[in-house]
Amino acid sequence: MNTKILSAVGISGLLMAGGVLSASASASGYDLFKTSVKKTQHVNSFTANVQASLKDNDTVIYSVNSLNKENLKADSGSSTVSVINNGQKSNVEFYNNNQQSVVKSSKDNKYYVKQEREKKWDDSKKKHEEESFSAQKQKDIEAIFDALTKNYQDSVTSKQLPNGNTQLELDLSKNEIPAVGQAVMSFFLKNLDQQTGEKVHEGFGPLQFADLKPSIPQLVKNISVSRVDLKGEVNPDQYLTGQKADVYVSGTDASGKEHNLVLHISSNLDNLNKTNASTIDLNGKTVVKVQDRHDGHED
Amino acid sequence: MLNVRNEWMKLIRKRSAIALLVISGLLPLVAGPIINVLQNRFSFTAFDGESFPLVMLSLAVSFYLPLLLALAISDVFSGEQEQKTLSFLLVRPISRMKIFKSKTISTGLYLLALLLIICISSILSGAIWLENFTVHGLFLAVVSFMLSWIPLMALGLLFMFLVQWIGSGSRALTFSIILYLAMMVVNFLFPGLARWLPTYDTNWYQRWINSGLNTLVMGRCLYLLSWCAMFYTLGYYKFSKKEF
Amino acid sequence: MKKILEVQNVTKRFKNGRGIEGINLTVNQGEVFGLLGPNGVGKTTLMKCIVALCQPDSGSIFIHGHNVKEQFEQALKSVGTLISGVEAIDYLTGYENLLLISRLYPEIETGRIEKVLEWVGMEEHKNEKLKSFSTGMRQRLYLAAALLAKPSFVILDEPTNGLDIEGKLDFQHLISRLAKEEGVTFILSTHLIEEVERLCDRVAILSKGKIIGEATKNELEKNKTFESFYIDCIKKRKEVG
Repeated sequence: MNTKILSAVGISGLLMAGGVLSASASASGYDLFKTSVKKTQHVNSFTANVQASLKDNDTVIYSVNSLNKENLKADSGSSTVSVINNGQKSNVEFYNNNQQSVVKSSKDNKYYVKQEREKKWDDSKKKHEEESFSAQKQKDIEAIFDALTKNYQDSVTSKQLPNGNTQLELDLSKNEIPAVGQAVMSFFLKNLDQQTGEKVHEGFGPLQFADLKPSIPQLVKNISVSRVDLKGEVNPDQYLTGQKADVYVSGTDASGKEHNLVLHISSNLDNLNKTNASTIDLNGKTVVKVQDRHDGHED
Repeated sequence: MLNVRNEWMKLIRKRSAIALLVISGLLPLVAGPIINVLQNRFSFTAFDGESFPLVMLSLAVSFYLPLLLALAISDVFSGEQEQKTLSFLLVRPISRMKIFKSKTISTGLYLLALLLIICISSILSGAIWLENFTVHGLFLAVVSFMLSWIPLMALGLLFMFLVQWIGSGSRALTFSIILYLAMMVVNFLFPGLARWLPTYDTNWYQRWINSGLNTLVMGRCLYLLSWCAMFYTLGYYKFSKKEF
Repeated sequence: MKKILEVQNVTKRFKNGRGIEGINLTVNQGEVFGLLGPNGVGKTTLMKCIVALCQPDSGSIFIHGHNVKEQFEQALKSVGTLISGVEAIDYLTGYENLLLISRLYPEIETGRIEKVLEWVGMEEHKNEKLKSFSTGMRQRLYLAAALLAKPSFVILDEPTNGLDIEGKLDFQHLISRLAKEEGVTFILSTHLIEEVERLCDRVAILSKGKIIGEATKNELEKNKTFESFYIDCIKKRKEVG
């Protein structure tokens, strides 16, 4: 091979390597994300502050704020949830440990208690789950996840925050959102009216959650998810301590009015491995026993 | 550059090339109303007029266009060698360098023509049949189609280099398809390795239209252009040494 | 006399053992040079080396003083070629095939394509696709292609292959006329002795990849033909071998 050809190939080869390396150096966010998810999976206890809101043309029509304390090792948890639906505020408290679950709503002074009777079965199930998450399985799942997210991996950007954490962001515009996502969202929104008859939550008998259901405007045309912005915050110990998702949907209703819906969900974790769930003393309180209607599962 | 007209004429006058250009134009025109009917019946909107051309593009760049490109390149080199028509111009006063260059350019033009046809017909189809057609969508579509030329051409130059060893059009095509499928598999199974292949960038227009010019896009741009330079050089070298 | 083609010690061996070895020959201006030999002795290999379709293992070739390998374009600038086994494009018409070639010679005048088509008797078929052409019609077209650029030197490899009797006669007339009237230099390879007899001023006999004899018409003894010269050469060769 003559020197001209050889040098041309050599130079272009070097430039190629330079291009690949500089491109991959800028897109390390995805790997950090995976590491942090794996690490966070093994947390024993945490306190999570979860917030969600739904805006319709910049007006908040629904918001949820909850503080959850979970101790997975002790199998206990507690959370307080407050919901503002069309300006009406209601609170619900949940407590659960391996013996019972307690629910208290701000609408009355009653404590609804459900006994956990299937402890043994639960335990065996849990063990089974732990086993099934062997190293090999985890690797397979990771490979599948990698393949599924292939198109998005190098769109994950990372940024150093002043508090020492790293912020990862995946900002997807309309054309990056898979058609399946568009189809599901549009199908859901177009068929909202057919779902109103159904009960949203059942589990707790007399306690109805229907009033907690948001009233989403009925969209009929031009429905599309125009943007999905996902953010994650990884602390210096590589735990995923913050997660945020903003989903933007636009469309017009039957009267031709345009609606821009924004669903915002955020979750912050702290007190990792240091959280103890709050407990409730039921002495002297009005207690309503709830029969578990889903008793004795088919299996 | 006189020979570009020759190579273009040879490429475009083939019945298969004309048929493929027509089919490429018709597919989006047919897909539009079908999607419209399905979406209305099942009441969902996965594709609207704004996103339809980009959906068509993402389908085209992932298999259809690489296939057509492989077909054209197999014809232009191995097929002509098989038919013994390659030498028809080689024995005239024109250097191998110019022949190779003009074959590359005309293949590139053919790819551009395919992209343009699919672009125009899917924009039209989206505007006619689907709701929510916007100027913004039109602009994105045109830019994305044009940007897709570069990674496809990088792939084409790889084919062009490798088919120099194959003296039959059909074998060259089969080989190119298998090679492309292998690259796609690598792309999914070995992400580390995939960064070294141009198939990693088949939908790089997404990066352009979403994040604009950043380090990643510039890096991939540099990579693709130097890939093109490398395989163009290697392809020319092999072509210039060929005996007929 | 001006040397148009010089082949210097050219060797080209193929894997199957065939090829040419140590070929030396010179074609001078105004000559009609014949390369005579049976099928498979390396005539086409030598022709392909001359137009650089093949690269010789050793030796060099000059046309108009330009090395074919290094200065291909200059060497072939006013050269017409017809190499056996090289085909024109099936799905284009006769005219369009010649149009392809004419684009490679910027100084070609308009109407030249029609003119050469007329020379070879193909003007009626110029708008038919090559698919419908018979072997003889193709061969006529290839000859037209070789003459298209008003070449001063024409390389013809088995030019009358597939031509009928009429075609052969037309061809011989055309070559003689161009050689005499326009002073065009020719090298033509053939296995047909009568062709050499009628057209050539000088002939080289090729056998098993080597030139085993070379003679001009004038050099031949009285009443001797190229045919008897050919037979003599083969005999000598057999005695040696």
